[in-house]
Amino acid sequence: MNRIIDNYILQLKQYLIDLPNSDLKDVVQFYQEFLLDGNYHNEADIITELGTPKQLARKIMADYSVSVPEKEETQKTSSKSSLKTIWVILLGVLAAPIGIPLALAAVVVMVAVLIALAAVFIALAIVITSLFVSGVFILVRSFGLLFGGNWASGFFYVGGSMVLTCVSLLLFPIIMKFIRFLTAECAAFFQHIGRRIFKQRYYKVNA
Amino acid sequence: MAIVIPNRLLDGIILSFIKRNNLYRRVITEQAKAFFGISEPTIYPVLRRLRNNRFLSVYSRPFQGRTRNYYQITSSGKSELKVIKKEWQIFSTKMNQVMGEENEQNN
Repeated sequence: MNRIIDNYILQLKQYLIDLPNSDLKDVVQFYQEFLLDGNYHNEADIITELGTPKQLARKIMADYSVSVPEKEETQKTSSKSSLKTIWVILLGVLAAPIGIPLALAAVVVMVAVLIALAAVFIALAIVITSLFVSGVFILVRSFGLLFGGNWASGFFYVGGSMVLTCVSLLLFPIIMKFIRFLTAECAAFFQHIGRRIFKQRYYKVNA
Repeated sequence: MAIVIPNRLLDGIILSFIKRNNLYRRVITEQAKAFFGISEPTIYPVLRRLRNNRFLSVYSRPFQGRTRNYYQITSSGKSELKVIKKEWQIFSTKMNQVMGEENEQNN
């Protein structure tokens, strides 16, 4: 029996690898003791009670991600960790009991927000690359004008192309900052939604 | 029908269980399940929160070659439980008044 529990715990650990070490130890110890004190005969019994290691890990991660204070979270975040928070919450909501209509609505809202976010990213990326590319392209083409006799308009285009290139280079860090801000805000929003869902417990009342 | 158990009451439930006896994890979750059908993954965060707020303390005892962790209520846990109890009494009295009256009208 212990081997089955060890195996379950091992799998759980693998899915929880992103948790900070102390939290990981605590949660693993908790479930290990819980399982050892239970009366299980096979893995299926454990899964009926706790779900698969993956499902349980999602619930734990989701709960963890919404428990981290929002402020702390947004202050020193990179876009990557914000996106991770978003992802973890989304998985957690998906793992929530299907009977909760709120969870379904939340998933739809979250997916919509993610699509909007992706659209903004893509739009910004297109703007900046097209500015840069057209700047470089005009620069190259205007050399022809410069040496082809029409030097006045040649200079005009060289100048114009340099402006375009520089604007795109100047915009780049601003846009990166804006994207970081946007993802952090999104993560905070997801935390907010996640909190509303995960912090409510339902139980059936048979009247 | 489903009634939502707010965190405040979950705290009250768990603190009450542990106030009666020092319990280990399995028993706490089983009691919560027996009374309210609350599932295990719900209990862990509650216990963690209560412990972080120092309403509960943990000690371990050897059991069959491993350790078992028992939860014990602290003095601040006891006073917290008193507050929750009071809040619940006020709320449930009002709830009963409201629903009681409506019943009489319908009959």
